[in-house]
Amino acid sequence: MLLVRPGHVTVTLTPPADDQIPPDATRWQMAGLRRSALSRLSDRLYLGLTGGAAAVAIAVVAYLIWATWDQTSAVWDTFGVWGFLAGREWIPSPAEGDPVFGALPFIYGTLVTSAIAMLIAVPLAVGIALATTVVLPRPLRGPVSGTINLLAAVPSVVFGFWGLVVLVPAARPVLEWVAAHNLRTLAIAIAVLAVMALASSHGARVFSLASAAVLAAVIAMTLWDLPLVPHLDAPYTLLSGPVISGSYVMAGLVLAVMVLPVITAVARGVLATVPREQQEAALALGATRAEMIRHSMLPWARSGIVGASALGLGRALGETIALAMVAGNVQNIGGSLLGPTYSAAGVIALQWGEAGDLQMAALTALGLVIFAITLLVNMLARMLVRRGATGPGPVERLRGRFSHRADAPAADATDVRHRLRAGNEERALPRVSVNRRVRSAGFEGAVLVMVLMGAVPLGLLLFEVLREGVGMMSTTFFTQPQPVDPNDVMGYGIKDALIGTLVLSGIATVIAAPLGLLTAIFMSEGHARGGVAGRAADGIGVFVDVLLGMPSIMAGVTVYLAIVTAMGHFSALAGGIALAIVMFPIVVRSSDEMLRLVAGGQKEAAQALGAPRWRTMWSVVLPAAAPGILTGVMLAIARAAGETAPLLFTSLGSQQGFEGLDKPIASLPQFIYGFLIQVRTDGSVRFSWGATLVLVGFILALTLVARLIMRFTSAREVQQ
Amino acid sequence: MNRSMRTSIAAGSLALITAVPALASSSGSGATFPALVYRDWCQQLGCSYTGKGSSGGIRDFIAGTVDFAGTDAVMTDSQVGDLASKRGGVKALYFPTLLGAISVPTNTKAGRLRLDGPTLGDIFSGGITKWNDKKIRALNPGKALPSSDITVCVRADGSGTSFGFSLYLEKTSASFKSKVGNASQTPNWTAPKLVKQPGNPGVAQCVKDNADSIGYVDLGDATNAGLTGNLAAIGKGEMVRTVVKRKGKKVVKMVRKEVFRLPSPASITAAATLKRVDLSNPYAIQRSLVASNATGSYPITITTFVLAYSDYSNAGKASSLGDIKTFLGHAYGAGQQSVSKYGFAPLPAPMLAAAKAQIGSLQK
Repeated sequence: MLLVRPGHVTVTLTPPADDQIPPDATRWQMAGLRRSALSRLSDRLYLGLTGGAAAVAIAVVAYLIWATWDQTSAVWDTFGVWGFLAGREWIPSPAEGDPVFGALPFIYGTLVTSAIAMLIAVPLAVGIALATTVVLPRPLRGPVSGTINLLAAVPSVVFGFWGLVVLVPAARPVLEWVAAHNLRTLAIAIAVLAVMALASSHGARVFSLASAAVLAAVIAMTLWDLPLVPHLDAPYTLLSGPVISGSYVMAGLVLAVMVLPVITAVARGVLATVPREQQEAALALGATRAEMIRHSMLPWARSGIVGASALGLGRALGETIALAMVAGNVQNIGGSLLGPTYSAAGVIALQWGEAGDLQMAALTALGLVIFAITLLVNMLARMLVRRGATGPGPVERLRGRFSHRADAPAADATDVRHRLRAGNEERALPRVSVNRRVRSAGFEGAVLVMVLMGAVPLGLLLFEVLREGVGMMSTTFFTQPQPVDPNDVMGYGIKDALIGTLVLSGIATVIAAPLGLLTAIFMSEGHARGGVAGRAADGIGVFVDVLLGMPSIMAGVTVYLAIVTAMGHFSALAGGIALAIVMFPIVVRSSDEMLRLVAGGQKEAAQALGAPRWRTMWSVVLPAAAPGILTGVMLAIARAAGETAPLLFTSLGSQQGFEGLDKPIASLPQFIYGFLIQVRTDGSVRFSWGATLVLVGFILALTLVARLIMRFTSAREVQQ
Repeated sequence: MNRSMRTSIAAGSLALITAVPALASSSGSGATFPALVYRDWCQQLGCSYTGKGSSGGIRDFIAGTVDFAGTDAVMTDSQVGDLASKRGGVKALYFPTLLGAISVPTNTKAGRLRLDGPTLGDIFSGGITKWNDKKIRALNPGKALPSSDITVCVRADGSGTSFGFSLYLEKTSASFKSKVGNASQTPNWTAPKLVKQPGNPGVAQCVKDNADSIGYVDLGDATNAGLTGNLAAIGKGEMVRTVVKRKGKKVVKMVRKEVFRLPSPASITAAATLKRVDLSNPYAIQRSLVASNATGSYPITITTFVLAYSDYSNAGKASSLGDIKTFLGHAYGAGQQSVSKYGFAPLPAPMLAAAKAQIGSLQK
């Protein structure tokens, strides 16, 4: 099956006679098709263009890292690398003596909160993605996944505020109960986790093993009151009281809710690329739906799911303000998970504004540490995926699994099909044992439970946005300038902030989307070619991963150093560039996953037809991957449109309307930040919900437009 | 679409992008403490102010990326040197703009409490960890104080509110000064059960969310959070008229007594006692306000400054001078009336006069 646009593929081919076909396609290509010089030249140009885009991206990232590194020399000179990384004291203004900066509490806090978030969010996201691709009834799939996509547009400050006023009070009695009934609750938690691990097993056996080991360690430590890090702090139990409003668990919960839409959206895109044939083959072999998912879909999508998780992890590691609102922000290594914590990105955002020179260098160094952590985690994940990816293909493995069973489906698929065609369907279908049926039902039940567990908090958040926001909607809200007095908001609106956000995310998209897509295409072609291009593609992948874990505030700081100080003033342009840096890795990472998943057979077919690489990409691969790529770009825009921190350093904010690209400009998230964090009244909170609803609506509108474009273009595609 | 139409649209959008407004609108950044007031003033004048922290404002001011900055703290020597080297040898001029109180909300079953500098210093440095400590009991006779640990809510981000509060504690509590140190935007609080929250509303929320807690927020945010009934009355020594009997006669005498006061516009203004204000020494002004012994004053009172370049041409900002003069003119004119709307108090006459006089020394 080949997807081409009519009028695009002009190569017609008379297949060589049967006896002339050599066994492998490359030799066939060499023998049967000699590509024209023009075709080869066009491929050179194509590779050059995409490679050039990738090189620009690399140069920018390299500059960012260099500029960041350059800022930190004072830290290494003063404390030494080890002294900084292993230092447990962070005292910017001590009672006597010199300030001390040690990164360990923040590294620990970042790792533990992100781990809690991923432990909750990844299984839920995969569950929801599965449910919305195969498990749920068809009419429910679109609305559920669409709702979750929308939440990617909610600015993190709103997540933080919602966590603070809704989630924290709701979780508090539960956590107090946990603190009082340490062991029993832990056992329940472990049971739940075990179910999740089982459900997503096989596809990720290594993760299950790792989480089992972690759980075993947790049980052991809880039973014997062992400290997590010996000799560092007094012995404690992992979930002991007192419960306060900011803690590891609260932070992990809010982070999980934040990253859930991101992981779900990408994982769903990945699962959607699993070829229909592959699913049908498994079903035809007699697999139940659960078995089909486990043996046919998950192995196919595994690398993509890891990629999706990497996106989520990047967001979790780099999250600043939402985390700062529910973390308690106290350096606390190895304390109870119900006690306060402090993340690296959080301390960067919170202390940057008042930091002295050495403190600023230390905060920048912390940013580098987050780079390094993201890179390490991503490389580890990739290694795991690569190790699992070798060996027989999914269908072969499936066949191998069933062939030794008593109730094994017929070994030959054509046999089943033949019997089905005979019309005696009831008897022709292989009998499924009770055991397998129960397990399959259990699996589907678990998926539905995950949908509930994941969709409920997200649905509640969206409900809150709607309930509080709809009341604000009026023409005044869209046409009037922003209020100043939080106790007197009537008659004011968000006009300037809305225009600012449109301008800023427009600039960012114009820069990041084409550059990101071209970079992803180069990576995909590079991997296909191997050699120097392949290694270059690998290198770019590493750089993109680094960028993915960059706390967004760092993008603001580097753009401040490179552009704002050079221009001599803050500007909308600088803000757009900072947001483009935030968007770029998301576009590359999600596009790369999607391009990778387009079935190799389709590409080979096009190339066998003599199409140049660029034509294959343009007419075959891109149309197939377009929905996923668009989802990725939407996610990136949503993320950029909700950013606050980098804008403080670049576009500054303005109380006036749009005055030009070289002037400071207002933005919705900054406005919301000001009205939730810097000052807060009933009126300002309502106003912020209204502004959030507008942001969500903006992303919804973008998504709808993208869908319409997709439908318009896909109508023109024909299947040959 | 024909060619000329296309050209004119292109030219039009270019003009839109590069158009410079007739009146260049100035922008400022810095302290969040007075941000609402500055934004109010700017809304009327056509400028912009962004609250990002005093040090952030000073950094922008040195880099010349803003036309003025807001700060609660005083520039360090190295910052003064940086400014001179990067901005053509100019100095920074400090313009105090308003007076503000830092209130101390508590959340216990005992209701409104009476506290003073030494007690607060002990609570925030960890010397006192339980509400029924005898020092707190001594200040609050007859109150049923809980035996629980004190949850101490403080700012997570650097803040002028933290600076003002720690300046007060440093001045009134020896144990605070030895354990935590001098006043700072980010004091190294040593209380054992801390929760740090971003923003004054975050600290207010923390006090509301956690039972048996204490915090510090500016008066406007305490009011917005509905904490007015929970603000501690802060005590300090005052000379009080007392009737004493001497040789069988009743004599009126001034006696030093501990008096507890709540923050209010009147008690804030009463803290400003300097008759001669020297604006070239802003630190002295700050220190004269906190822990003032003046009769009727609330002791945790601070001011905040706008930074302007002493010479706008040398700073490369010649075109902004007019705007700055307009801004300061409004600040010391009609603007003083609007500060009380946000929980602040207007400047006392001597400070106002000195600040107005200093506008004249701004050079083109």
